[in-house]
Amino acid sequence: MSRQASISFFSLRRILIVAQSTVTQLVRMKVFYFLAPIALLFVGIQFLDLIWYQGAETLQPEQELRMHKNICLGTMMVFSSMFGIVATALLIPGDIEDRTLYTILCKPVPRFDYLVGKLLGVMAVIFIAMVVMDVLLVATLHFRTEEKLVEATQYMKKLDYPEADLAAGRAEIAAHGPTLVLQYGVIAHFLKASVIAAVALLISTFSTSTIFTIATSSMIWIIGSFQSVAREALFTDPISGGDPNMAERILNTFVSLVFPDFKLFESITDGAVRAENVLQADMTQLGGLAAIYVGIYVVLSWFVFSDKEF
Amino acid sequence: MRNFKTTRNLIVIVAVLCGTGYFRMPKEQKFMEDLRERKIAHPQIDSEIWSKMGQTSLAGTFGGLRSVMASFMSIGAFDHFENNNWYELEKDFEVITALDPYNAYYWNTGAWHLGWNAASWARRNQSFSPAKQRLFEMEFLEKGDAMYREGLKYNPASENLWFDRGAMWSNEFKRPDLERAAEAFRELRNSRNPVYRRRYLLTIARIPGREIEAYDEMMKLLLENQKFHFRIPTFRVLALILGSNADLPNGVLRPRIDQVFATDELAYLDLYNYWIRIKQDGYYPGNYEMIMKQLIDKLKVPDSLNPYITEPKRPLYPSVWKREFEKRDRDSSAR
Amino acid sequence: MNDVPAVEVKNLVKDFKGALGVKNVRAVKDVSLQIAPGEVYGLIGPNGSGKSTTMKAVLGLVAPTSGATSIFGRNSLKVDSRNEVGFLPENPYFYKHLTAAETVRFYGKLCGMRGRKLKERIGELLELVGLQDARDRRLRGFSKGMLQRIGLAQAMVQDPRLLVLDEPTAGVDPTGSRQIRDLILELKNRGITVFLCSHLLEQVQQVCDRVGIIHQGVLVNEGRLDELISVENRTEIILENASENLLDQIRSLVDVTHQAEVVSEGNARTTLEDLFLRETMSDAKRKAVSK
Repeated sequence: MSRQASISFFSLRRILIVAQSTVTQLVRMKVFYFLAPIALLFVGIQFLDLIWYQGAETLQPEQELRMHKNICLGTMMVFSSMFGIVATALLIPGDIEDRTLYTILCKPVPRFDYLVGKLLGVMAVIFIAMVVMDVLLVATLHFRTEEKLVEATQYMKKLDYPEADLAAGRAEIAAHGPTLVLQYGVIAHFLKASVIAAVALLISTFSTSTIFTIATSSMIWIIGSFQSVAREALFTDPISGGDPNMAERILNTFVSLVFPDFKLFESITDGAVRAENVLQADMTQLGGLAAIYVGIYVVLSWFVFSDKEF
Repeated sequence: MRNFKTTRNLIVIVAVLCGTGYFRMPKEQKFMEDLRERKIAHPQIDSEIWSKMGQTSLAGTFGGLRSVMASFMSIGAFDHFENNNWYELEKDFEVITALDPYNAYYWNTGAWHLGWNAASWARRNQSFSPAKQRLFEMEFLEKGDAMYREGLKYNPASENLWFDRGAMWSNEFKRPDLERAAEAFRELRNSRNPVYRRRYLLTIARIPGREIEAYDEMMKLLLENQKFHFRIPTFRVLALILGSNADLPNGVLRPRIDQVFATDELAYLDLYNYWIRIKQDGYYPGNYEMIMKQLIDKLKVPDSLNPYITEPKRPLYPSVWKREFEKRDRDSSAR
Repeated sequence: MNDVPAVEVKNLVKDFKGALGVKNVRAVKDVSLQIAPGEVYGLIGPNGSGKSTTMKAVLGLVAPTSGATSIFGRNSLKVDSRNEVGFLPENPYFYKHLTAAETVRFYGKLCGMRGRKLKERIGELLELVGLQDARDRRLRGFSKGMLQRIGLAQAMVQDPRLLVLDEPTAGVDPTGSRQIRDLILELKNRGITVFLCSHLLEQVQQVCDRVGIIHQGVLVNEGRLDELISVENRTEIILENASENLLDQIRSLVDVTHQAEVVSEGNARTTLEDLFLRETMSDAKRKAVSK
């Protein structure tokens, strides 16, 4: 290593070192233990049946599968978002309080690399947890779908469905099982959690306490789910002179500009649960949007953190 | 210096977010509109519904848990059903269906509770006067119907919603409105489910003046799968009765009794039971009287099994048929 | 290259704003100092005198209000300057979830080290600081002295030319302190520059070449240690096995000159540290330490 060489502003290797250390830290904090009750939940909802009210003629296997997916994906969303906030909120203030940060920043580590490494570490842990939960979801959903296919096939055969109709009926049920579209829903949750973690990173760079970071990031999470309402009010209400709702317009504008729109991520997941036609192009667009959000928050975090004194 | 820095940082953060937001917003709006158009994204929640939401469902909406909240609320709404709190139940289902409008199940469940359970409760409520019973029953039936229709706007492909709406209006134990029932079942004429497909026929066969249409419908079903549909006694009889309509155009297929039924005895069993269908459900009589009297003469049916002498009170089963015929033979021998 | 000072502080001023912009505190007032390569420099002063602030400014952890600091000619605020420096903070904490070896590995990697070279360096450092037996133990279970030693190990991982030590022996027992002191002397022999802050004056006296005294943010005195602490007009002679007769002769000689006088006489003293070590250590260790 050339000591005289200039340290580059950005080094993937350094970032990965900090990220790996963050992953180790979080893993040794036993964060993955929560997966045990989640596994129980995912298995338990196998036994949750809808209230039948008109007998087998109104067999609704798709509905049961939807409920299964809703509960599992909802759990994944809550965990990933909360973890993204709490883990990120704890990391940097924790390093400052413990003075671990001093020894890191006294090494040739640009502050940008440190921030990105921390965020990447949190995202890696969220990713690993979501992979595990996704495997559980796919496994339990697969079993339930097979069960529903058998029930539905028996019913359709009893009604003398022609082969083509039988196949079409089975395909409709299978479309609500573990498909690629469902994975899009999982990916959307991961992307949302990444954006929320980036928000928490930004708040933690100027926050003085962990609780403030968690509380503020949670508020942004909630407002982000509401942002599309404010934005749509702007796009659908024409401006007219002497508008008595000017205060509302100003508020809507502020919310739309400053806060992220989490509804887009949630909508993709909702569509995936309903087995709607979510396209790869939608995912590309969503991924691009998430990358823009994360990029903006990381750059702003670096801006604040770069001249922070310890 | 620290306070200046903090203020400066906040200003820069807000300015950058506003600046990037200005370019980001139209793209996000377009994306959302596209998702709404393709029914991937839920429609916005009406302001009236916002006001009806409780804290938990409101929190779920903000947290991105609309569908999950709808699931849990629908389970919780069952309590209102058990306690006959119909207006509370209605309010809950307004919220549930607003949270997850592209889920036909919630519309169906809400309409079932209102149009079936609540209407039945009103009709049987001994604390109401007969007029009040009818008033409330109709109110809940209309509420149920409104929920079906609203649900079908969001879920036009939901066969269950069409079927259940039709079933509600064709139910002989409620206040049947066969025109509305037919309107619903009509949408199921091309369903994969043969049970759904034939409901249209079974409904319009009860509407005076639609016999020709009923005949056409019956023939279509027969051509699709005669063996399946002929398992239903009413269908067998309708094939005979509708085919005997004198107003049918010349040259159409008119199924004969020996083509529909294996024996005259089996024909009589079905036709006897159709009597109740005519009297109670308003099914098309056609040449029923002529066909029945011919069979009565041919089979020498005892008076106890002659609907024109002894009013049928219950369905006729082969065991009863056999027993009455043996009794007739014994009585004849005794004389 | 040798002309470039290891550390240069030029007219350093550092202000800290109080709450609501009032009651600003000027922690460092126009401090200038230079540390030559290979020197051991001690910055001493009471609590709150500005020692740590000066040190942090040198390390780039705080930005000067005015003035400049540099390490081997490179601006302290630039990341480049940190290639050459290792830092041991006061009361160091490291990631408690890591083991000793993992800690040194982590910091080594951050400095760009990798592979076999890093592996060997980890073993070497742990042996140097006496933690080879605890290499796989997590830092959560370490004592204060052990944490201090692991701190030294991480500070030296990339073989820096400058070591900055903030209170390196604070809270450490006499045995540990002696070991750290000996280590500093060894590093000095290797040509490594050491910049340390302490208010344990006796220890500073034992290791430093030059000392700066800072009080209320001002560098009030600075210079070579022996020059600073020598009392110019007094001479010390220590005799062993001197007879009473010899002592009388010396007293008489002094009396004869009329210029000098005997200020005090008595038995020479050892140090409390030496006494402690003598009583608490084994023979073999005692011999090694007393060298």
